[in-house]
Amino acid sequence: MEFFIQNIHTVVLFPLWVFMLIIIGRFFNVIQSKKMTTILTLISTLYGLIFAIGAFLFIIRTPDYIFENSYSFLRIQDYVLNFGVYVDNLSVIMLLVVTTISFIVQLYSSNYMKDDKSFSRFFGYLNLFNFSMLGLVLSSNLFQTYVFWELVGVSSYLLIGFWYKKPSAQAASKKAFIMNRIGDCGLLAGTIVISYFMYQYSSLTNLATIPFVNINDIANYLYAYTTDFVFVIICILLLLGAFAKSAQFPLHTWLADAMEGPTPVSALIHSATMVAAGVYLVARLYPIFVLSDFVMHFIAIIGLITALICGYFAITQNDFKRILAYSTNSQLGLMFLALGAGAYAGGLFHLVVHAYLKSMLFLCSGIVIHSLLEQQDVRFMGGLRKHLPVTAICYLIGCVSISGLLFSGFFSKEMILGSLIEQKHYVYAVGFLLAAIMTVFYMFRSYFLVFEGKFKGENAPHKPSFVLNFSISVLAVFSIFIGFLVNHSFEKFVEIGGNTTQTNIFNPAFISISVSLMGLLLAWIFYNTKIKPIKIPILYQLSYNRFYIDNFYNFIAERIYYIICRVCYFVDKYFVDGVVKLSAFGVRGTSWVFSKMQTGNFQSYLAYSLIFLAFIFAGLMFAYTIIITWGLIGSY
Amino acid sequence: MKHLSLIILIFSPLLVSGLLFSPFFKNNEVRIRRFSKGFAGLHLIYTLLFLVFFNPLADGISYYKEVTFFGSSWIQPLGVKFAFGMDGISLVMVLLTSVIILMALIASKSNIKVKHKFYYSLIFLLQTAILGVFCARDMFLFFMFWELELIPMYFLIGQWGDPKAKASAMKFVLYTFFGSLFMLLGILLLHFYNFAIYGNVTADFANISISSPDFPMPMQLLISILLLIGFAVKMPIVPFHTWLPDAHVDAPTPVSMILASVLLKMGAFGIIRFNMQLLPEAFKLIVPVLVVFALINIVYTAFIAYSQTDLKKLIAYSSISNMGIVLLGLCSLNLIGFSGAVFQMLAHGLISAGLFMVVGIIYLRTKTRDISELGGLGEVMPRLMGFGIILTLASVGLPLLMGFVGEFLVFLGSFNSDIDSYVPIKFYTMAALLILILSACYMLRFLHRTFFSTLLEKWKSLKDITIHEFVVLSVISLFVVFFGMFPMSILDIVQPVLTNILQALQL
Amino acid sequence: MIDIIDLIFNIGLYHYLFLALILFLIGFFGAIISKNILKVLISIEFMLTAVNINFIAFASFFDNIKLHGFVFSLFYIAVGAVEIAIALAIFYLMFGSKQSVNTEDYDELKG
Repeated sequence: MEFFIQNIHTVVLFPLWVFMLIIIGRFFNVIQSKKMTTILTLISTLYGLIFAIGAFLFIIRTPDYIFENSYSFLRIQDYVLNFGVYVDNLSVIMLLVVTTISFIVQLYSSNYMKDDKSFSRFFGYLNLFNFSMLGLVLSSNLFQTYVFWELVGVSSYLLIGFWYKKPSAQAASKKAFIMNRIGDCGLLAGTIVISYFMYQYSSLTNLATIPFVNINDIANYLYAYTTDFVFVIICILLLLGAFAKSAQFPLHTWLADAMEGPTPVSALIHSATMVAAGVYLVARLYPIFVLSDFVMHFIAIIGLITALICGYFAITQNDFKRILAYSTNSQLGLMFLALGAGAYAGGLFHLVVHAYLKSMLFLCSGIVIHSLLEQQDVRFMGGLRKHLPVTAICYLIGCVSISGLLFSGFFSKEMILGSLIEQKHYVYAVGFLLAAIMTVFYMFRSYFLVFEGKFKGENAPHKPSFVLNFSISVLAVFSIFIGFLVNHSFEKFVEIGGNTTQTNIFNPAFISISVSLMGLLLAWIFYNTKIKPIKIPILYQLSYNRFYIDNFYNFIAERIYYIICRVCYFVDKYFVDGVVKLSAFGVRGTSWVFSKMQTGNFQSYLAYSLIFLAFIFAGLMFAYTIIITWGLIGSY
Repeated sequence: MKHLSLIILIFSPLLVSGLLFSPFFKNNEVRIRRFSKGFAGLHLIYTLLFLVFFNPLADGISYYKEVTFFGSSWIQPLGVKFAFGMDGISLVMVLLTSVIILMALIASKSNIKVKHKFYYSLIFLLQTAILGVFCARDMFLFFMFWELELIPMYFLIGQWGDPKAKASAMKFVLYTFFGSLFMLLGILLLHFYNFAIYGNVTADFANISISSPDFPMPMQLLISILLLIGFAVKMPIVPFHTWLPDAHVDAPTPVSMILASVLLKMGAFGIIRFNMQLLPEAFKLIVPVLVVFALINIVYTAFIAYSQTDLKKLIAYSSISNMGIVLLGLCSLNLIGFSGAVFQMLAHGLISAGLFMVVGIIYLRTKTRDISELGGLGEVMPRLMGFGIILTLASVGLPLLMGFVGEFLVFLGSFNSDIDSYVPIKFYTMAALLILILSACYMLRFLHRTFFSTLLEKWKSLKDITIHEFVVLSVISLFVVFFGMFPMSILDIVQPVLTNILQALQL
Repeated sequence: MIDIIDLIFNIGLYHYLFLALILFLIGFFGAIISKNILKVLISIEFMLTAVNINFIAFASFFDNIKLHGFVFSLFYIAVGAVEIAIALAIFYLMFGSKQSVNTEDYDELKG
């Protein structure tokens, strides 16, 4: 088993190699068959999967971590920035999740994208994403995390804008990249500040890269060396990065637009892995954040706000993928709420469960959209249960699970709720339940609108291929059984600092199940029966237009920012360059004046020259007398 | 290695420049072109030999060579020597120059259509001048080469560029000349005061011992500021930057590449050589003001770049922004910041050469640089789009590409800087971090408006890039990726020199 | 009263210099103002004469031994004659194409 741990860095490098192979092949126009590309990619992911399982088995036996800082990226006297791997409980879990979902999505895409012209480019980008995500999960210090953080952002950018000929896609990718950049800015600022404190104040300069092994020490040092205010600022800077990547309020608008990318992209990146990177970062830096109550509440409140407003938006959306996107957003908010409120294990468990669920839901939506010939609006769908039975069953499993009624979703929800009530955060618990109701409502709304009712199209939708059905079934199996398998041991597995409190999940179960059933009933009434759903106009408008936040951001970005830039350009062109042009004008003006003296009339030349001579002579006389008088005075 | 001669390295292009006028080449374009590219390639290999045998830890200057005229120095009464030498920073810059000139020559095939002999000989003259600036070990020699590069630049910009290039060339030459006047005054004052205080008539870098209590501080400060003005015009530091958009935009593509990559670095190089090595005390006093200018450079020009409709102007303003990062690194007075500044000089040299190449290719095909007329070119030129994406991401500072290392080290260095006690540098660094967002904004605007979204009818028949352009872009991208992943290869060369410079500054 | 008569009737150096000055000014203003080229040439001769008078005055009052001023003014008379000859020759050639003695017509060097 050690073999897997020692060589785990190859898991990260293999996809990079495949990516370069594909891209260079494309540049040189070397023919690459789709089979080749697919097989290479799947092999690299499978390789990663095998190593992940090996690492997992190793970690279970030896409750320890493996840390290795091997490659010295930057070395400036005693300031050393290393790349390395850090394999502990958390990374192994994330590794398993990422590799399994990656594998399934790649399998799915090999069939789903087979008609696309740029098939190899898509798989190249998928490999790039694989490389970045695996690097992120295995990174050994905060600096390396930042490097892979940006890389993940870029892969997301490239994949969202994959169909670059569509203007909406490229606008969405631009928005995603810039919002991610805002977060990166904060993360880099936070990293630099923490690194500064470690380098200047502590005697251990190897902590300058903020390795995760010593995160407890770093947290203690940081808390000791900084004032409260500065500590909170540093935490907020770091959190800015996490919020941007995981689409929390107020940087949440990019996630819904990210649905412009192909569906496998949404399944892989924007539901399961990349957006979970923010949660992963918070989990890694948890020892720093717990030291300040304000920061914990901050995380929880932002998470709660995101969960509530995104749930609110999801209720009225008509685009199938958007509903799922806002659902993802909302669930991420719940994860942050859990982490912020102290339900560390609950939040992480929900992350794992949600990853499988959401990717399955997205893949199902992909099948639906594909078979209805790219129709994405739920108002035109219906009655697909008969035509796409496997999809319908998987989707139903997903809905039930995510609503917390049965299967894994139930366990994860109860874990969080249990921790919240145990720690007496009743406000958060109520908010959590509110978000849960909304979740049930909109998920079942989408289920009923898409799969129940009458079929509205003319021709029968074409059946998905075996590969597609197989992928979602595998994920469905995962989502059913993950909950049962790992429920009890999960808390022990991830808990840091050795708290092994076992939250009792069955007490709050009754409240939450009844609440969820209420939501289910409401959705059934509105969408599965003949009763029309109630529509309160003002609330509907606010929800449908997403509180106009998108429009507000667009306004700032397009109008205000552009005005600032035009003003700067104006200043540059007319004031700064104006001085230069003024000097040129001055020279030209002077020469104009002097050229007026060239009248061609020699008599004026004569006059000017003699007057000039007279002045010179007078000046000389003047200077001479001054020199003489000064000489006389000087001699005293 | 004793046999590598700097004199050959620096003056062989001059020889070739004259050779091109011999009857052997009579107006045979192909012959001239191939000979030039061949020679540039050989020159690059020779430069690589210098790299191979370079020992970064050697004390003093490597490859030092003085040319004496019958046993006495060049201008004996003034103590001016005709001496060249190379240390770590010079080596890196010389390598950059040789690579970029080769790339520019390869790119000249499609861009230069008339007066070939004149063009290629001017490029080689330019190469001699630039190499001389980087290797000179004497103040007046440095100044001579500094002025020498203006002559070929004037003709290169004015003759083969846009129709209105002549005015921009004139502006460039006169503006730089104006700056060099101050620099000359500074050099003369330095030379004179060295004699007045120590009785030592010399202009050699090694022998000028200025930084001592005998030298009055106001005079040191004055000289430092005078020299700085000269370098500020070249580097460029806002508000002395307005020649740059005009000169870059109107110059032909290869000349733009050389201008952005190498000439701007001469300014930063001069600051290191003169202000930091000769007048360290005065530099420490100027730093508070200089840092503010660096910040303005970074942020202000990033805003302007976003509002540009001319592609080349956009890249030109982004060059100024990147040089602002270099300046911030130099002001941090910190080994981390210095290393970052020097690395960023190299990085920006390669990246901006690539970007100008991309824009040049677009201009060649579509005859327009206006953003509003372009769009959707990715469909007809996918390879160019690929390179465009790589270079854009490098310019924005994506890790594992070259742009990140320089930026990151500069920000790290300036945050950790010791000048914290009299300059609020931590706030400045935090403000400068906004460049991450701002550069993404304008570079993505560039990328999206040219390559993405729908293709217009008139661009449907464009051809993708040719072999020559492909070679240039792929070599540049290769370097960008390689040095992004293995930055220590460059940093190991320059660190000892920078450590020495820093020691002088701490005193 | 006696001083004024003394000033008028005792001829000293200043009288000669004053004469030279008056002649010079007449010549100078004549050169500037005249509309006729020939008048300008004559005015230049005036200036010449005035300078000659200046030299002779200084020579006779201060230099009794070597008489440099007299010698120089003799040379200067000869040079002046040659100068006028050349000026008239140039004028003659230019008159051929211009057919006018008005100074305002001779503006080739304008601008």
